[in-house]
Amino acid sequence: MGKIVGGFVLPHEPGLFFTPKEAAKPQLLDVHAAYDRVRDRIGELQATTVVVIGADHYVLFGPQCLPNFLIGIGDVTGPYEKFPGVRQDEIPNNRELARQILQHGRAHGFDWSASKSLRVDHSVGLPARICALPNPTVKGVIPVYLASGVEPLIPIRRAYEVGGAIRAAVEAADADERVVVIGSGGISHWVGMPRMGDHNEGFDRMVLDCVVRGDAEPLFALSDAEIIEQAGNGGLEIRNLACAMGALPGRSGALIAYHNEPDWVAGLGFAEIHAAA
Amino acid sequence: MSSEAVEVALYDLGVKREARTGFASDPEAFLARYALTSEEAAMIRDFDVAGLQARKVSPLLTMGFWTMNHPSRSLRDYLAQLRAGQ
Repeated sequence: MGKIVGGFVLPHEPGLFFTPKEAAKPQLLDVHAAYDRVRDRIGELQATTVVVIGADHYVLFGPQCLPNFLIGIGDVTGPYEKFPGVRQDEIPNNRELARQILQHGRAHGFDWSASKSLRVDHSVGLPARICALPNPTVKGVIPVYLASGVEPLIPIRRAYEVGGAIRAAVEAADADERVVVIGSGGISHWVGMPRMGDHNEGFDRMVLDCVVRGDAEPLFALSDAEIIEQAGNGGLEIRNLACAMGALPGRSGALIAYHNEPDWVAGLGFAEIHAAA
Repeated sequence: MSSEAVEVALYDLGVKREARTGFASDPEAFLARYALTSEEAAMIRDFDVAGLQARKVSPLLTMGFWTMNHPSRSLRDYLAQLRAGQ
């Protein structure tokens, strides 16, 4: 039987990774320290598989086909974007567990879309490369994409329920897996909108407080229009955070870091969700 | 007005090299491949990103379109154009 041993929420702002660490200012070094903290905690949890929940930015999936929630069950490569020092070749997948999540979900009301060959973007590829794969215990990274960036969007409550479906499938697996779930998303950010570069720290900290308290209800109560008004179109990615919360229902956690800077697009929140109640 | 056809064109221009090459060499001929009105085609040809967003086209696409196809490819120029057109 597998089990979820921990969860994390973190941002995936690509601009953070174009600057080499040796050229980084102190604020950026603080952000990298938060990623390092997540990486180290995944190692301490002795995770064998990491599920990364990301958002397509209207690049992987076009208007012709927009999946509500999709899992990579085969070959995985990426990220497709080039970042200094970040590999772009194969990301080892845990195919057996990925198919277990798909099949268990489909048998219990969760009609997963599937990709047999997936080139991921930064939202999945960076957490995989930076936080998961450096740990020798981690044998595979399973990519999940929610409709959290491009309309039509998955409802936030449904995103949370998808997290629960991941948990149920892991617990029903024969293999003795130790699984960490990462919800990858910036909080307030206005991507490609006139307010791009703006932040709403109050909104960001409200979301992080929900994560730390293990209470997703305030997130469920937000309409998409309210999110866009308060946190931009990028704020819609809180679905990914809600999904990670759903994999660890009601579990509390701890804030790792929060940052925003004028040069960065998003409010950057990092938190751990503890597996123990 | 069909924002879907516009989104297909902008998606292609964001992710497909051959689309970008075709648009750069002959915008009118390239845009004729899509079910666009003349107004829509003009907005794309003229990089009118504010106008496109006013018609509910995804900002993810307008930004990607600009940064992959506009002669400057500059995000700063994109935002200036966008804000000026509000």
